Amino acid sequence: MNLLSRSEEIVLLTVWKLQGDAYGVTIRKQVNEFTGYKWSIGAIYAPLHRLEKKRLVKTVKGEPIPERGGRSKIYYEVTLEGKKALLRLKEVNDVIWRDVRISGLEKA
Amino acid sequence: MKKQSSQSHSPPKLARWFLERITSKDIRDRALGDFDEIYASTADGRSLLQAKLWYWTQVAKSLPSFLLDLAYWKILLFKNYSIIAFRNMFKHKVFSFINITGLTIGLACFILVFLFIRFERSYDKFHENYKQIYRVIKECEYEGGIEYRADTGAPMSPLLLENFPEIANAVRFTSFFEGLVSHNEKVFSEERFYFADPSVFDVFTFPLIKGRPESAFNEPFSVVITPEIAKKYFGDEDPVDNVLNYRVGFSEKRLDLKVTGILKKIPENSHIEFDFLASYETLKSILSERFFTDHWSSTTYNYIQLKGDFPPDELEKKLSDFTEKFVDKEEYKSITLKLQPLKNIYFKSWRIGGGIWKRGDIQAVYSFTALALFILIFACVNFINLSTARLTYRVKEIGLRKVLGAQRINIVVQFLGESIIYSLMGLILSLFLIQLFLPRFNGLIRTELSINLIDDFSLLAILILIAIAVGISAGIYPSLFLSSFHPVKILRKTYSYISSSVFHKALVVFQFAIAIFLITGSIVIYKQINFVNNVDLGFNKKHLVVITIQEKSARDKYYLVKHELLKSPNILGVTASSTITGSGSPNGIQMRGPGVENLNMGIIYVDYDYVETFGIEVEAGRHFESDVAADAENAFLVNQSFTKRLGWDDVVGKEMELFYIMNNRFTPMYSGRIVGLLRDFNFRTLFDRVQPVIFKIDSNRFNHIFIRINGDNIPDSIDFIKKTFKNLVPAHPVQFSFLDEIIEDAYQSERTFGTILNYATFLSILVACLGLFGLTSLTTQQRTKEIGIRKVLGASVGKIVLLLTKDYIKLIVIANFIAWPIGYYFMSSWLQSFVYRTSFGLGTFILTGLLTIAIAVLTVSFQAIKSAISNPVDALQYE
Repeated sequence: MNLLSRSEEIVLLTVWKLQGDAYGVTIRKQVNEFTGYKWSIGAIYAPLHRLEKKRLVKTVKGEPIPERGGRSKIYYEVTLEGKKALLRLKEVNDVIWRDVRISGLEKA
Repeated sequence: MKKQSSQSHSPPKLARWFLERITSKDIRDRALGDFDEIYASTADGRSLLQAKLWYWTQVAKSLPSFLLDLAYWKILLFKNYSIIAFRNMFKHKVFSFINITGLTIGLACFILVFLFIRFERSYDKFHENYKQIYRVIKECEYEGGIEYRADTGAPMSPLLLENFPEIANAVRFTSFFEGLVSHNEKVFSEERFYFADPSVFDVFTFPLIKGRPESAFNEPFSVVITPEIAKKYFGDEDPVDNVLNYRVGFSEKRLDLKVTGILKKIPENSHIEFDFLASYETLKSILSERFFTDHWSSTTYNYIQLKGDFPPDELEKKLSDFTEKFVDKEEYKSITLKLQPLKNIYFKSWRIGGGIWKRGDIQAVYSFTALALFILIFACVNFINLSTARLTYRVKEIGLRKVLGAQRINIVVQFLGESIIYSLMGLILSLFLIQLFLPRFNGLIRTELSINLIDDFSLLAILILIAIAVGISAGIYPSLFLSSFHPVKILRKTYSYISSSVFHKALVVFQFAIAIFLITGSIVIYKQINFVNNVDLGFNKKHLVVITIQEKSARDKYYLVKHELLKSPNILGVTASSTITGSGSPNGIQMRGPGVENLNMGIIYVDYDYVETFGIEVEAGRHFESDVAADAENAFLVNQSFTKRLGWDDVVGKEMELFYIMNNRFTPMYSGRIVGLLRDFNFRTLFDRVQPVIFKIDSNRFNHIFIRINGDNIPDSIDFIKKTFKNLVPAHPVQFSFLDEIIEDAYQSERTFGTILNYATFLSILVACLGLFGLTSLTTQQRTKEIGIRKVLGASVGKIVLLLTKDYIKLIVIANFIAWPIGYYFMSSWLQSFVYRTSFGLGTFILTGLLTIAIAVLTVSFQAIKSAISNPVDALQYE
């Protein structure tokens, strides 16, 4: 299986962390907090769209809400495939970061 | 309350509209919802303006991501389509081969013609000022009508320059059209020798690679030459500051001209052509005052350059008043000047007389375009026929795509994409093909076309656009057709292609009708060229060397040269004439005789031995005899047309008088009696009927020497002729040609067109046959089982082949009947331009018919035989 891109990884992880409260607005808010800079709405949806097509996330339709111009919130949930992908990513990240000297990095 | 506020705070419409355009369908609603939600919360907290501003900036910031997202899925889809397209291409090799070959040939022809037209249209546009340059032409009104001429008098353009401030500059070109140029031992006759004003370098873009344009023509007796001429006369020597000797025609005037510069090679797409350009001042020393004062003489090409983009119409209006002053009312009803834009001269000069420089042939452009379009359309027809006939192979894929939610438009786009891929592959291959054949094509039509896609990016873009357009025109019908089926119907029953589809048949008939028309054209042109080459002209044109007299000494010493030449046993005869027999025109004169007053008549001045040397038959009387001293003075020969015209029964012995009437003054020329009657022979080309003509000896009027040589020893004879000329008339250039070649040259453009038509015919038949081959292989494949069963039931191979081919033979026969009348109409009107023409009748058409049927049978029966001899078990075992 191909690894995800960095933006896909961040978005997927965020959806997992939000556990049932993940829709566009909350995902973006969370991602902004994680990364410390402002993502545009488009920047969130491009990786989300790909994750959905890869079947790593699925959508659940909520109730229509007037603030959204009468549109429903679309909640994202991580699928079984998505969970596997996250585990795999963690493995890879752990392996890569193992034995990395942090001391030298901090000075840079 | 809350509802109200959210409504009054509805987001900016334009931004939302824009957002809808840039988001892909899947995520559009969600993203818009998010936008609205955050917008609403922002609007609650802060001002409306701030919220709107936020919305806009957020749309702008999201733009790249959304666009990338859109593109990402489009590319994925395209990737899938391309994989399917290439898979299909490799799976159905015959189909792909036929389509790509057809499109390659079609596109190659089309691109060649495109390059040709682009070249023809580029004429004279390399001059930096071409938009401001005009040729001054004259419009003369006679009693009979209006005539336009490109040549005007020498004082014209200086006069215009002086009187009209809107004219920035003017240039004159004048030539004597014949002259001898020499340098040391080298002597050549040069026709493209022009005199021009110094402004030629400012107005036109004729750069010098050596010498300075500002000073090249400062003095009289200066000349600039092309690199080719520099090599011809000076070899490796530096021509600049060297001297060339120029002699004007037959006059005794010799000029020593100093070379002051070397021109850059004149581009092929220049209507102005010259090898030498001498300063205009030089003419003052050789021409009389009259030349420089006669406004309406036909001696000079005048060009002017207007200031800026001054409209030429306004100047033209003033010109008619201006020219009124120097019109001779006796000669013309009216005469005035017109301005012809430089960029129009090449193509739009067909009704302008007196222009000797290059002229475009719009007829050739049209016919080449038609031929290329035919071949390209054939390739498209193949694609249409084969794609729709191949329906069975694709129908399941289409059905499945539709079931999985593909819209009709998706299927159409997919199939269009496939046809465009085929067309683009054809484009790439055709570029290789063009590289291969461009030199041959250039040699044939005498152009310098080139294709360089690296430097010429716009050409590449145009070619790609052409290929895409071809792909779309080939693919649009099949894609609409293939996408039209209902998925349920497709998947429930198996579609089989019906071989009797009227549409396919009509297209095949269309292709072959045009191919047959082209074959008819090729045959008729071939027959006619063969006819003009082999027809009995009434004289023997073989082994006749023609030397055109270019220098007075050769005319003066003609009889000495003749005497010397006849000493060689290889030289069978020497004679001379005022015109080149077989391609020249007679002079005009007036005659009177018994019962005839003031009749215009053609006259050809010949030497003794003319009749014998040319092998012309004497019908009555005798030819000129050198023993009869009086023959040079008072003997005439006439041809049969002459007697027919005058209605004289017994022409030999009749007396007549020849004269001119000039300025109402009677000027007698010759008088004497007719001593012989010659059988009619074609002294002009076969475009003209044999006219009545008189032959008379006059050694002052010989222009060409004809030497009949022994055909067995041509190189020796030519060496001997060269040596004799060098010894006796050293000042004369040694340039000669063979009469049969000169005569053939008269039909050069017809022959070129014939050759191009042959190529086009061959290619169109090839493409049409490829299509037919593909169609039959598809239909036979679909009838495999039927053939198997027939064979099991005892049908012979011959019967099966007949079964499979007879449908197509019928189509070819129909195509023949359609093409014959069209071919007859066009080819008989083409032949009309010849007075002496070959005949073509039913025989030609039957030949064409048999030829096409044979080709079609060969094409079709290959597949038919293949399936007819195959083992029926193979065909049936899958049941």
